[in-house]
Parts: sequence; C-alpha cells; structure tokens
Amino acid sequence: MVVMLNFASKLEIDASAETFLLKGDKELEFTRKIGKIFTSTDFLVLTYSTDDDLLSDKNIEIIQQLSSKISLSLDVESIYSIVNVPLLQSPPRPIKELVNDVQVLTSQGIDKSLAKKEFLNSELYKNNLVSDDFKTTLLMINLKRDEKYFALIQKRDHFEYLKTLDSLTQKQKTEFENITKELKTYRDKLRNKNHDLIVYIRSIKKEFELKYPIKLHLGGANMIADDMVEFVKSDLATFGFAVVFLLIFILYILFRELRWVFIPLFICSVSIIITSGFFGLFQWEITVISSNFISLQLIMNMSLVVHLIVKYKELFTLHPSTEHKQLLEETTLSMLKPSFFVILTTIAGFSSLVFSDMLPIITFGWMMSVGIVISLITTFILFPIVLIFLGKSKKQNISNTHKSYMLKGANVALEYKKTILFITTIVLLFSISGATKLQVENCFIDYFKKETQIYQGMRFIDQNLGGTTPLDIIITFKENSDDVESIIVQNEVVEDELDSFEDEFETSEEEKEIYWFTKSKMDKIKAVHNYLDSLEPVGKVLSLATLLDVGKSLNDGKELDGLTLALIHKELPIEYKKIVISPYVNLEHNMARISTRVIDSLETLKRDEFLKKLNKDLQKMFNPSYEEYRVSNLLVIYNNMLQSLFDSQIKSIGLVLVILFIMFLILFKDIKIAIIALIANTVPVSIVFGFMGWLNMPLDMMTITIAAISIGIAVDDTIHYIHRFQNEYRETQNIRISILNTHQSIGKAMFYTSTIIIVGFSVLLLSNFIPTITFSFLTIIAMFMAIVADLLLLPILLIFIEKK
Amino acid sequence: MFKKVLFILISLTILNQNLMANEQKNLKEHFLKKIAEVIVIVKNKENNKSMRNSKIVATLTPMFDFELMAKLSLGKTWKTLTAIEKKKFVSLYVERMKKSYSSKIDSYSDEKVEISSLIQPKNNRIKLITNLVSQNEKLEVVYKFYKPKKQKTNKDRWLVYDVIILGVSIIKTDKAQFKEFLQTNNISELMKQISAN
Repeated sequence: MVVMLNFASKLEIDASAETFLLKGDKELEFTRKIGKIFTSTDFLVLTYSTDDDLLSDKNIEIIQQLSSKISLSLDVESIYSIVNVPLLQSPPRPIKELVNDVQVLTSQGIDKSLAKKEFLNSELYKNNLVSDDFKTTLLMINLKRDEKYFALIQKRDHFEYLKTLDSLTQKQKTEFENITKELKTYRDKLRNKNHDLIVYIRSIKKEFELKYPIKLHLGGANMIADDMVEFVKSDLATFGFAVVFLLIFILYILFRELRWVFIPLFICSVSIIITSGFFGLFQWEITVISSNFISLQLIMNMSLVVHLIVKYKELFTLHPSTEHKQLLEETTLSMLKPSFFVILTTIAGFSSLVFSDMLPIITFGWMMSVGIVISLITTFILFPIVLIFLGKSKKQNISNTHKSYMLKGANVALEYKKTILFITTIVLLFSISGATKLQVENCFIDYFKKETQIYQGMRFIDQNLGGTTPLDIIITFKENSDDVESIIVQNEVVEDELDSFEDEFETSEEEKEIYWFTKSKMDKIKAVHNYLDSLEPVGKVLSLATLLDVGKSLNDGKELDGLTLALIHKELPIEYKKIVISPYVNLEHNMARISTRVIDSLETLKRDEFLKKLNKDLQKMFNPSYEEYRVSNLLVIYNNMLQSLFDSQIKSIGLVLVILFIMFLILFKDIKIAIIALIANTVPVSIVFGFMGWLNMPLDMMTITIAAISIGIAVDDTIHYIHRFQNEYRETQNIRISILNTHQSIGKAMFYTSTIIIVGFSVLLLSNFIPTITFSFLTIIAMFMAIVADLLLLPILLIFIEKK
Repeated sequence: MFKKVLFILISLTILNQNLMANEQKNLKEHFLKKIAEVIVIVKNKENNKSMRNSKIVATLTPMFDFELMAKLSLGKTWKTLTAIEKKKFVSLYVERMKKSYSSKIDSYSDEKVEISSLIQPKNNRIKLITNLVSQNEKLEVVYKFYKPKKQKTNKDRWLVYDVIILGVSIIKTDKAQFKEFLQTNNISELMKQISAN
C-alpha cells in the first residue's frame, strides 16, 4: 500500500494538445512543420477593454506598462499591441518612404485620429487588434518557441516510424526509450512553465484591474489546456469530498450499520490507491478523458462490494447460526463467478476504447481494464479479511422495506407486461430518433460554464476579435516548370542579339526569393483569401493579401507590382516583417499561408461539413500541376481526431456486442438467455444516445467514451440478475417464483448499488466543467435505465422465452 | 619581329582603354544631362501631370531599348511567338513600361541622382551605378547599358536594357511574372493581362 501510495503521488494530470493526438497523425505533423516554417509560436491573448478613449495617453501608458510587466517573464518572446504595431496609413505615405521609416502609435507627431481610423479600417487590424466599437483591443503575447521540445518530438517520431517498419536495432531501441522518457520529462517541465506563466499573467491582470478602470480577459489555446487541468483538479478536490460524504450518508441509510459504510469505502479507497499507483508506475498520465477513472472505478467497485454485502446479509439472515468464516466463504464463493464475469464484460466494454486511434482514449481503455481487475482482486481479498477482523455482525436482520419494494417491483413487471413492453418500444423509438440527431462536434467554448473567466474571454475574442480556433490554408507553389519553355517551334529564328543576353537573366538560387512575388501567386492568394473571408464561420482572415490590400490603398488604389513587393520584402525592417510578411509567406519553401480563425461559438457551425465544403471548393481553385493546397491547424486536427474516434467507436460497439454475446453464452449456456441479456443491455445504452441526440449534446472527445462506459455499467446488473435467476430457477423450476426471489435478493443489491451511484454522482452535476456535468448526467441516466431495464424488462423477456 | 607585335598589341590595348574611358565619360555626361532635363520638366509647375509625364517619357525613351526589354522579359518564350505576336507584345510592353515609369515619377519628391561608379564588363556593356539621394537615405539604382552593333533609329548610341533597383532587376521581375503566368495561360492571355493593367 505504502509503495503504491508513493507511486500514486506521482500520478500526473495532463491536458496538453499532445494528449489529444491520434497516433502518427499526419495533420499534426504537418501543422507542426508549418509552425516551424512560418515561425509561428504559441500565444496567449489578453483583451483590454475600457469605456474611455482607447488611444488616450493614459490607456497607452497602461498598455505599455502591462506589456513590459508581462514581458518580464522569460517565456514571453514578444507582445504585439496597438502601441507597437506598424501604422501604415496614419497618414498614408508613399511605400518607399514608409518602408524606411515605419511609425507606431508612440512615434512623435502621430495623428491619433488617423491612427484610430487605421485601426478600425485597415484589413490588418480591424476586427482583429481592435473591436468594432473601439472599446477593446488585445495584446498578443507570443510565447517562446521551444526548439528543444520540437526536436525531441521529431526524434521520437522518427523512431516510432522505424518501429512501424520493424527496423529498430537494439541500440536504437534503447535510444527510443531514452528519448521518450526525456520528452515526457521535458513536456512536464514545459507544462508547469506554461501554467506558471498563466498564473503570472492572471496575477498581473488582477493587479491592473484593481488599479485602473479596465477589464481584461485572458484567452488562447494554451489556456484552454491549462484551464481544463485546473478545472479537473478543482473538481476532484471539491467534489471528491462531497461524493464521499454522500456515499457515507446513503450507505448508512441503506444498511443502517457503520461497518457497511466503512467496508465499501475502505475497499474502494484501497483499490483506487493501488490503481493510481499502477498508473504512476506505468507513467500513464491522467488526461481530461481519463479524469473520470476515479468515479468509474468507484462505481464498479462499489457495485462489487455492495453485492457481497447483500449476499452476506442474505446468508446471515437465512442461517444465523452458521460460523462467521463459513458465511464469508460461502458469500465470496457464490459471488465470485458472477463478479468475475461482470469484470470480464466490463473489460470487454472498455476494450472498445483500445481500438480507437487516439492515445489518451486507448490509455483510458487500458486504465479502466487494469483498474477493474485490481478492484476485483482487492474486493475479494479484503472483504473477508476485514470482516474477520470485525467479527460477526450483531444485527441479524434488516428492515424488510426494501425487500417489499423489490417484491412490488417484481409484481409490477409481472402484472403490467404489455405496458412495460409498450413503454420500452417508446423508449427505443425515442432513443433511435435521438441517435439519428447525434452530431460529432467539438466546441471548446462549450466545455466551460458561462460564468467562468475562460468562457467569457474566449467568447469575447470569438465574437469581437475575429474568432478563436485557428485554421490555415497552406499553398505550396511548385517549382517553376520549364515545360512551357521547351516548346519547339519550327520557324525558330536565330536571334544572336537576344542570345547574348540570356545568361544575364537566369535567376540564380539566391535570387529566387527576390522574384518570388509574381502576380499569379498574388492572385491565387487573394482568391483564396477572399473565398475564406466570404464564409460565415470564418472570422478574421490574414494573409499576404491583407498587406496587398493595405499596399493598394497606399498606392493610389493601384495594385502593388512584383517589383514593389520585392522591394518591401527586402527593405522592411525585420521587426515589422515579422508581423506583416513572415507569418504569411515563406519564400524558401515556396509557400503561402492564409491564416484564419474560426468562430467557435457560432451555433450553426458544423465543423466536419464545413471542412468538407472548404476542401471541395478549394479543389476547384487549384491546378495541382502548379500549386497545391492543404488545410491545416487546430480545427483540422481536432476534427480528424473526432471523426476517427467516432468511426472507431461505432465500429467497435458492434464488436463489443459480439464479444458480450459470446460471454453471455459461456456464462449462461443458453442462447435465448444470451439474446435477452443483450437486449436488456442495449436499452440503457441506446437511451444514453437518445438523450444526447434530443438534448443536442454533441459527441465529442469527452462524451464519446460514454457508450463504452454505459455498456460497462449496464452489463453488471444484467449478469448478476440472470446468474441469480438461473440459480433460483434450477431450484424452484417456477419462473414466477424465481423472478420474485431474484428481485428480493440480488435485485435489492442492484437497487442499492444504483441508488448509491446515482446519488453520489448527482453531486458532480454542480461542477464548473461542462464535460464533468455531461459525463455524470449521462452516467446517471445509464445507471437508472440499467436498473429499470433489469428489474422490469428483463423478467418479462425471461417469461416470454419460457412461454415459447 | 616579336617586339613589333608586342608593341602593336600594347598600343592597341591602350588605345582601346582610351576609347573605353572616353565612351564611359560620354555616357556619364549624357545620362546626367538627361536627368537634368527630367528635373527641369518636373520642377516646371506649368506642366500638368499628364503633360509632364509624356514629356519625361519623350526625353527618356531614346535612352531605353524597350523592345529588347520586352524580348528579354519573355525569355525563351519569345522565340515561340509569331511575327505578329512579337510586334503586338513589344508595343504592349513598351506602353506598360511607360505607364509604370510615369507612376514612379509621381512619387518623386526632392531626390538627387548621383553617379557612384561605372563598370564596363565588356566592350559593349556598361553598368552605371547611381544613387537616388533624398534627405535621409540613399537608394542604389543600377542602369545596364549596351551598345548595339548598329545604332537604332531615334535611339541613343548606348541603350538601357535593364534597371536594377536595390538589387531587384526589372527584367528579372517581369520574367518571373510572365513565366509563371504562362504556365497556365497562353501568350494572348498574357497580352490581354498586360493591356488591362
């Protein structure tokens, strides 16, 4: 225990982008490559709102102070704000002059009314750096790009690639292991650094908000990850105790004896500690997805213990004079078989997760499987041991109230068969119709409650400052093909004069960059830019076309020619080039990037459909012989991940049902009963999907695991019920009596388990983190429907096959 | 005998160098004279913009071989053009060149043109390196001259065939533009585009 506790303390929570990845995701690799080529860094966004004039001396001073204070952090590379971005049109000047003497808001003699006009109208800044009402601006905090981190990833990916080819030498294998370890340590370090930075900026934010009449919001992709971890952690802390308290309460209400409160909690705690220790030992990290493992293991384990308790009490009531040891032996032995199968089927349910392509989901599948096995072993070892220590219970019997409720329940099932079947049909119709409405969507903003800082910040940026989720179109212009020139013309005239100049105008490799800015390229970039701008879900679009547009207005409305662009590229000081050119073109790689942000909070946004349409439309705009495009960045990565998750889940549910069916067959040795068991299980699972569909809850990375979880939960009750029923039937040979007996015995245990879990989980509905709320809501539904289906529907189905 | 030959060779080289030095001097003077003429036109407030521009173009045109520039900017594709196309292309190119020159003049303020050096890599080629000097900066502009075998009508003896502004060659810029455009379009589309701009 102590050893495991020690390992458990090393258990880590990680919600970084890395944890959401598909194995060997090409999109991610590409996005990383693009990030490197266009030297784009991670960034945080701090919005700055004031009722005062944004450009007043006071505000400028505050923004300067804010920037310099944040810049003190070693992780900050630079900060762009209205104070230091280049002003190109205040006043409009010839490009030649502009390039050599770039002005900013704080330059001497700058006309603020012109600057305001520029911020509000320039394609570069409007709806991006300032909001339309000119009450809000943002500070873009660029974080230092950690080359070591990316180098480590690259090395690891290389080894992983070699591994898929089976061509790792022994030496490489060791190296691979070392790199993986190093990467992990380094990533943890970075994550802490990132967290510290966010905490630091938040403290500055607080300080400034107290000191000045301004409102600040912090946002950015890095913050989503960090906040998720914080929410999960705070949930564990806040609700962990509440859940435990409620469990104590409900256990006491049901069993009226302290030992039956202590034993389940003790066994569950030990299991969870040992499991956490294993995870720490294997270095399996808790991600947002697996953050529920404690709750889930609690459910499974509680169910195991409660069944043992009820069995023990039942035997005790029947044979009060039997030896304590013998009582325990009988209890554990009679429950071992169903419990073992319960665990096996639950593992089967969770194993569906292992078929997904996403590492955290796979890990979650393994985690749950390991956890459940540990629970089984711990429970069956500790239950008898603890009870031997505690001695025989003094209280012989418990109130018969629950027993009589069970009897009533059984009678309801037996009396109202038609009604129950009718309701089941309606429930199934509800579920099926709901399931058809299911959507696969991933909206990050919706993970957080409206009152949270992150929600408000993200929503504000989303709606006033041009969207949040980055989406890039990368255009690669292929190397100039010489096909056009190699046309052989019959009437070729030898022109000596021309030939003598030929060598002079061959563009050398070094010069290629200078002559990169051709009209064809610019036209293509503009076309794609304008197309993206016309799409409703797309907020701000930035590309070289933005600069061209600004340039055009400086050039008396005439488009900038290749010569001027080449000159701007050559002459513009590097600090401004970093803002207006380098993020959008890379001459060395012959690439242009059209960078957009998608409005995440747009309710009509269907991400997958949107991306499909985007690809279809873009395909028409490109000639693959000369230019290629690729859609990349976060929106694509998450969408791909989600789609592949959805596919693998849907496919694996089928597989899981087959596995379950085979297990039922082995356990019950009766094909009809196996079919019935399967039907009784599909009802709770389907209703979970029904609710999700009708309540417009999208299937996202958090909810997608719910199918596996609800199968895992539902199956437990079914196995216990049928196993007991078969035993009863063997003795009585009377189906009605068997049902009544089963209801009164194991039915009670099932009812207890469900009540405990439903009450315990209801606390989580108060969480701040929407995925936790969704998860607990759906678990409660699954739990409730499982018990209802097993106590009301299952008996009817059993009678039905008996008649046949 | 050998001494004689050597003497002739040496004197020929010196003569040649003298001639070259002379030519270089003439070219410099001619160039500065043209620039002075242009500045007079620019400073003459009586001229309206279009009058001024057409006068400047008229002054400078004899110094430029637009026709050659047109050919050079098309590169090898030039040879694939029919005679009619060639003629049409040259006239469109010349028109475009004049227009673009005029627009550059519009942004002219008080800069001075200074000759910084002159290089003659071949007998019939001269690079005239100049600086466009304004109050706070210097802009290097290189004019590349060549001397056609036969003087062309209405043209100077030495003709500009490329201008390099801060290391960016006009011809190479055009060449890159046209080459890329022609990858997906034909020559008549290119001509349409040139005339549209």
